[in-house]
Amino acid sequence: MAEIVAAVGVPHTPALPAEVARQGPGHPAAQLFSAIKDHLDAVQPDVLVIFDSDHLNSFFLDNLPLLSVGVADHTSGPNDGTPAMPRYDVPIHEALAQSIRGHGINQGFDLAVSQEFEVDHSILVPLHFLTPGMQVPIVPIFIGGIVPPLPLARRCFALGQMVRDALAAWPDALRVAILASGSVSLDIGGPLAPPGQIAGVADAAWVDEVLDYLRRAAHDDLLNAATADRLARAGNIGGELLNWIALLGALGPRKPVMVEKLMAHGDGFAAWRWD
Amino acid sequence: MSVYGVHKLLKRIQRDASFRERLATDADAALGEYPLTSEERAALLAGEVGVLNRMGVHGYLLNTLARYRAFGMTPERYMERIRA
Repeated sequence: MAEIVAAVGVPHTPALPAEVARQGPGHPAAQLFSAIKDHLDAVQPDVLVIFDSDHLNSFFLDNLPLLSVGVADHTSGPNDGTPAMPRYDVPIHEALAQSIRGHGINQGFDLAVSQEFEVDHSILVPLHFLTPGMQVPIVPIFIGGIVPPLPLARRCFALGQMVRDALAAWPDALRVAILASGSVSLDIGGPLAPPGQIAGVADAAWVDEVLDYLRRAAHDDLLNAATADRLARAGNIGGELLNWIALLGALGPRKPVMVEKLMAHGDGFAAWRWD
Repeated sequence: MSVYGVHKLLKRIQRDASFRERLATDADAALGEYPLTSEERAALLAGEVGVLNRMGVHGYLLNTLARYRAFGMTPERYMERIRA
């Protein structure tokens, strides 16, 4: 049985690696990533299952999966020119990825597959800060959170529950951490960004509301609130919250040990521990 | 999903520096490679990002115009027009 030992939610703002390289470890995002890294290092996961929304870099509109699993032995990137990032090669736990996808399809999730793909900043900015040696294999599960119509919040929560069941059915001992990548409220290049900014927080009150649901483990309230319309008002990148919602489905009704807000990009940092 | 040609063009601008040069020197010819409606083409050439936004072009790709100053776009003009 694969055992979930921790879960973390983090942003993936592509400007952060360059900002942190310039400003050093005192940068607020560097400190928050460092705190999240401490939680992961403490539980020594064998695998990171990642819920992520590709930004039209791994997939494009010629062939766009709503829900999919990367089933390959490795991936690499970033493939979108993230400043100040080296090019990384990341191992994938291919057998576990295959098993999760098969389990999901048997549970009624029509999961697409990609067996050869690169990944963008949305996976590699978190890994750059959390597992810079790229020593922990990942299982990337892609949720189409960028191009509407988005999958429903309850569907993504159920997807997370399915992943938990799939892990429980895995025959071998394996320590798994879950990672959700994304902002809570962000508009990039759209009309909801604050005046004078091309990208920015569309709805600061929504960030506070969501983080409050997380703190109280009020998952059902979050699912009720996270309608398609509500996510749209959180900005054209607001659908990244669906990655966090899938994480909540995987971890069950559990309170986090850490929830911090970094409002510059509508970001939350959170960690859940089992020990 | 009628703005597919615009999205495809924007992705090319992101990814292909030599295409960006061609766009700067001969926008008509470069745009000719993409299946654009006359409205899409006119809005691109005029830098009417508010119109493109209302047509359904995703801001995440659309702001590529400001980043690379395509069709004479500047960040200031982009921010002013995106709500227009």
